[in-house]
Amino acid sequence: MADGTPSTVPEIVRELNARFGDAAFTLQRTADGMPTLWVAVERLQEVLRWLKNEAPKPYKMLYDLTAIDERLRKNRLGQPAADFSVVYQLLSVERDLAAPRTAAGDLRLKVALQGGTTDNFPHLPSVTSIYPNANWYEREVWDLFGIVFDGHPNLRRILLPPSWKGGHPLRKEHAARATEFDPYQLTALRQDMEQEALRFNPEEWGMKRGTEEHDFMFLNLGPNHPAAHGAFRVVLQLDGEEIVDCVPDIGYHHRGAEKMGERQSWHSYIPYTDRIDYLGGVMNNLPYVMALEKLAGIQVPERVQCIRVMMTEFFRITSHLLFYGTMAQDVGAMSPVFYMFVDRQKAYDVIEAITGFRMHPAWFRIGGVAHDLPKGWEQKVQEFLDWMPKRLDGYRKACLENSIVKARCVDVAAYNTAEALEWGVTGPGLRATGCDYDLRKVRPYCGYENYDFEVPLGHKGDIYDRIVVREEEIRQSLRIIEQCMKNMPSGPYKADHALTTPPPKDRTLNDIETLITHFLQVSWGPIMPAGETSFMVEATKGINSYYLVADGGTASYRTRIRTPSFAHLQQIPSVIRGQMVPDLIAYIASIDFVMADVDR
Amino acid sequence: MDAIVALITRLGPEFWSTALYVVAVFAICAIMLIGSALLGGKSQARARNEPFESGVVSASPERLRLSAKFYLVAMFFVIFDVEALFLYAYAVSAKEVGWMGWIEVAVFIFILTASLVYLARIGALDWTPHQKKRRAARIAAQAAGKSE
Amino acid sequence: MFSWITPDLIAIVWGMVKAIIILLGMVLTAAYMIWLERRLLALWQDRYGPNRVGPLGLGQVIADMIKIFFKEDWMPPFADKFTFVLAPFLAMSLMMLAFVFIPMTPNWGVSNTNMALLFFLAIAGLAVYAVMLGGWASNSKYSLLGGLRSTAQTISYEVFMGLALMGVVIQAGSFNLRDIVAAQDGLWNVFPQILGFIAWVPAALAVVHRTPFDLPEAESELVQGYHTEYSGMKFGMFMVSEYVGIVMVSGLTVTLFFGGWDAPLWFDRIPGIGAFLGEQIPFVWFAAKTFIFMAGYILVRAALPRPRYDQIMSAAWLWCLPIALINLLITGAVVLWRAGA
Repeated sequence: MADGTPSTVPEIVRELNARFGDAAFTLQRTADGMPTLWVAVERLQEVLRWLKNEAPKPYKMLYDLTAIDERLRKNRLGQPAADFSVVYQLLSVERDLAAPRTAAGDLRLKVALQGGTTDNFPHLPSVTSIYPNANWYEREVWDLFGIVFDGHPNLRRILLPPSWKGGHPLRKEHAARATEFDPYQLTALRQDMEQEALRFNPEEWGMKRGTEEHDFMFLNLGPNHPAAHGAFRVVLQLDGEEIVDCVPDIGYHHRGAEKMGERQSWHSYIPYTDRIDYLGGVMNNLPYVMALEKLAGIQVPERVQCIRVMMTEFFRITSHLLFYGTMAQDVGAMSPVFYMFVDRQKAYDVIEAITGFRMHPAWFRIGGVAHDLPKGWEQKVQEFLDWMPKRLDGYRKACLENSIVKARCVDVAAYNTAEALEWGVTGPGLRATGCDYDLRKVRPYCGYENYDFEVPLGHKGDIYDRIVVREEEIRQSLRIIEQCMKNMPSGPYKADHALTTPPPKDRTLNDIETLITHFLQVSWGPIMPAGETSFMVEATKGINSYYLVADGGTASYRTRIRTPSFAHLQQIPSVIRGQMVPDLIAYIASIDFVMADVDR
Repeated sequence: MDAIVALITRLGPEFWSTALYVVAVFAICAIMLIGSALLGGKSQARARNEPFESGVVSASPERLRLSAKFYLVAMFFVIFDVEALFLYAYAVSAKEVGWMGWIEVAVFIFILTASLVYLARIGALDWTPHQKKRRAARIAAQAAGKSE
Repeated sequence: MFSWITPDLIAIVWGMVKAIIILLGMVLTAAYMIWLERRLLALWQDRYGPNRVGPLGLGQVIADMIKIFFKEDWMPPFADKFTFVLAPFLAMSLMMLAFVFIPMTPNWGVSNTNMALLFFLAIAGLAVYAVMLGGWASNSKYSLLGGLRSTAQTISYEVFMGLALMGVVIQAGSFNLRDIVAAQDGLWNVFPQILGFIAWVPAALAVVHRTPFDLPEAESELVQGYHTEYSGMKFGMFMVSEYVGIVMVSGLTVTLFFGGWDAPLWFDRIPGIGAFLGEQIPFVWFAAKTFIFMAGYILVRAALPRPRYDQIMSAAWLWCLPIALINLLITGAVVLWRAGA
């Protein structure tokens, strides 16, 4: 499957054809080898319902839902005619676990839509009745593409402000550069208007303002709140301190990262990925460069794989440490966060020694990494490995075994595996429910199959289990880093491939031909072959993936970033209804999200 | 002069030092408030005269009709606190009232504790929704067990 | 010419001077408690803390005080003006007033009333109004929630706080704090009154809204709770009142349970210097013990997370209240039995 063509027809395609007939689907070939089927709009709901509820080993999770503006695309590669296509990516944990290492749980469905003018929005039926977490995804597609989902309970903008007048930005006719707009001015009048647009209106969400006996308090928790972990707003409907209902409101941190992907070269987009999950550093580079390597057919050397594993595990540790500290702080413990920041600095010292940067190294490259490891790196890594475990033991005593922490976290804001899958929860939040789903084990990439580590699991799915799982993951990451250090293969740090960017030095500067190729590849960027690709990694906060559409140019035609935090925030109301404000604070902390990861 | 001094001294040093202490306390607080009111700057900005609600405008008025459960809790407090006052009176005279008094207080405390246990058992001291839910589930389970 | 200066009058003036010294000393201690807390927390948390203004950062408190005097005295137009100002005034003045009863040495101490402990309980009860009124007058939602929480919290500790001290009262047979100190000669109350002390500790933390009972101002939940809308000096008064409260409650704890100015551990029986240690430096002992409790407050803040308010209330009603009642009965019985009545 390295060349991107499925050697055999995947099992699920056979099952679907058997159930709905061959004529119902058009198979598309993609570089990532994921079964990709086009289905008619009319049969969409029927097919999804079957896949979720009746199929053998059903697809319980709607992993991602997005759209592509197809109108300017030159290389359609034999796909059905469409102005817009809506993409549903499903995930069956059961299939994955039944056949590990085959990525058998993936399925991508596409729907072709016609029409595109603003007074003639394309539309299709909403699938919120089948997959409840389609709600936010459909709002996002409406917001950014202007595609209407019929039957959606509350189809309103989600990432852009409700007062947004600029249309639907991910459409191709929408400008992408600031120079194409008038300068932005925030006049007093506009400020008032924008503030007023943010005023929460309970009736719009079907909420009552009170009962006959008493009123509900509507409280804005965020965007400017110490425990909101970024510019995030939850509007609470409170009875005393009991949360009757709540509405999470996102978009305050939206920077148009997906749109930027369409005007940056494949290479120069790498630093933008660092800033998606800004605590994840090079962890963000990984799915992006791996997706491109699939598309380009690059096989990276073993040394590169090992370096990538080591560096991403370092960032898993720093991210989890920040979670650990802020979690403790949000339940009122003051000191742990200071200790954990010290530890993070130690980790960043190692990262800086290797990459030259601390938080956002942008250090992975298409086909390799930016530099080779510096001399004496083992010593730095060893220092950290010696430092960390005893600190973790101390934290376990001070935090995890503290009876007040337990009282605040055990059995609070719990959800089970089925609910987690229903809401698209991945990562530690899913594993805390006892679901043994870690991509590093289920679909090993970067040679994870060669490492000896365990996947910690919880069993109750409550806040406490989420802390314990992450704490144990730090220890496991330390194990992985140690194995990387002891078994670092020798060899080149870049793949010997024409599309490796920047290319290895011996491929340049030989004669005028190689010089010109090098010059173009660096100044204009590499030209990726047309096609579609994606890659999923077990990132710090859950499963992160990039879905890239290449149209044979130096830039992406469509960049879709599927982030775990987006899904996790959508789940908040279903978990926290009927609990108290302090529980919400602890729950929000236990999700471990950053708003940049949610809003992109 | 002597008359004034006699008047002053009749009240004793403790009265005067206490009185001065009290006056000084109020004076310090007043100086702090008035001093900063006089010394502090003044500034204007557009949105500063709104109540803080995480930086966005409020969705509902700040004055609310709160649910009655708060009053219930306040009632327990008043009742128990008043009863506690009787025990203060006992404490200071424990030696004088002897064993007879002790027995009476023991009975009083027993009744107080019994009412506390009663309140706890009927769920009047469950402040949170999940405690209430758990209790409701237990009662339902008991009822189901009886009907079988 | 100065015939009207009688020894009585001199005693009165001297008493008044002492009162002012005590008041200023206490306020200064409270102010430096802020410095102490910041430095100690920093020490325990791998940080530096304020270390720039003056030696060891000791000038920081003065600099902050000057700064806060020159800050804008902002009055929210949506607030209830009179109550809004009254709240910090009450918070600060009540905590300072309660110190009037605390005897520091056999000779030092402002008031020596027989009702001292009752007055203290009354003032502790009143101090809650500061928080409640502050929360209510702000006319802001986070403040209101903070006010509600403080009410709930008060309800939970107020009932048992007084009862926890009644064992001490039975032993001394008086509400007078000097009598209580005198009654501890030989054996500090903390040993016979261990149950009372156990119930008293949470109440002592709660009465000054300190971690883990800082729910009314839990910053990770309610932004700043009841004083969200306060700024400048009015906020400063709430803050200083917390530290005044810590000094006051630490002093009270020493008085009630740790023998006041009594020298600890038979220091007074050391041959040679025993008489000096036992009799001559009572204030040193009182100050040292008080300091330990003040530092204890800081340590608790550094170490503990914050429970939910229903957990505090359940603990108060179902654990502390019964413990205080049992302690009362046991103390009564033991005292009567030993008196042979």
